Amino acid sequence: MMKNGKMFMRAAAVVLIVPLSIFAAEERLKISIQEILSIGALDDEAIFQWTGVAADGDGFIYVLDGLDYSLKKFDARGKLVKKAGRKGQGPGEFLAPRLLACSQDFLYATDQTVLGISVFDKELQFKKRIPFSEPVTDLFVLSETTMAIAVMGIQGPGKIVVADGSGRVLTELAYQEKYTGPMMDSVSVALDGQGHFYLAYVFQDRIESWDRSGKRLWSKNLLGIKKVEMKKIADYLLPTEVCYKDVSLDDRGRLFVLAGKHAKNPSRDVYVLSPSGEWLSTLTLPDTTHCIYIDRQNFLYARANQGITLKKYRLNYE
Amino acid sequence: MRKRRQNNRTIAAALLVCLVLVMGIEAGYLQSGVCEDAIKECFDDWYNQAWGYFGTVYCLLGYAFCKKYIDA
Repeated sequence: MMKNGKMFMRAAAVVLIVPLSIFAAEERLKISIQEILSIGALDDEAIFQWTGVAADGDGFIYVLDGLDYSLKKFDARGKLVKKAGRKGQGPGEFLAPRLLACSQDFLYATDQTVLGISVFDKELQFKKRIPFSEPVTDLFVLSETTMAIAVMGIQGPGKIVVADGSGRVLTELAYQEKYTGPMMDSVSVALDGQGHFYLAYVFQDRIESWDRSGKRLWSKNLLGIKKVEMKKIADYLLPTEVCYKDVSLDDRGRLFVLAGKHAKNPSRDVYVLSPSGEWLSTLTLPDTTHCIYIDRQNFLYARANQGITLKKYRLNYE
Repeated sequence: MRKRRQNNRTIAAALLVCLVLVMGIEAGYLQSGVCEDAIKECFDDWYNQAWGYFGTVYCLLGYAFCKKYIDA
């Protein structure tokens, strides 16, 4: 009995300690955050429920507001300077706005109910809709004329499409060889200045880097999750637990990965990796968020109050 | 006497570990389900069914968004 008890305790210790061991490693980089701006509060109407965020080089912050069916522009102090859009599926209208990205001159927005990418100028004037017939899970603008689009695998494997401003496919990154089921290979994507793709799988414990030629440079799993939890819903077997929610790069090419349900602090822990995939640090946000965004001035944006508030943080490296 | 006390401690510790594991699983179970219910309703909606492939795309995109946005 005594022997069995000891064996059980050892097994339990292994189960509990091994997945946490990676985070017991010494941090190579100390990063802290300092809140410098908060937009939207429970007692105002600045933001009802934001979904996507982007910021430009002039300090303006752009937000997609899902409950207000709108695109909003705030100045560097957080004052609303312009609002565009209304409920609908016409040009410049929204029903379920989701992703937002920006280039030097334009903003790119997606809507769950409409295929394609809507383009607005910085004054929030609708310019055009880029035709794109596949479901988009993430969007990363490379230049004024090109963007990387993460495509959800529904009937085939997921992929990253690099397209021009007219929706013409320039190149594709097929990061999955075979189809393993709907949404299994959904990813968030970021690209660095050298053209390296960084992918964080939404439902799998995998973070990867790929080069432009389609060669995988490295692959990491930080959560110790081996099996993807699945549930049959209607005719589909769907993954149910989010591993990684979003990725973003800082000005030195460090990869920030927002962890999902399996993290010590779900939807708050951000793992910071070097460009070569080494874990450097873990940052814990004060509130849960569905996405993270780092602008060109190295400010990090995240959610608070379940989407009513947008927080802007300065990243401090020690 | 001492041996029996040690046995009791070992059993108590093992039970505590089991309890923590079971409670953890249960807590996760209670929190999940919102997005699963939503996508089921989405699939069952006649409008989305009539929409065919695009209805399916809409529901799956909504599920992914729900999982990221709501399911902490």
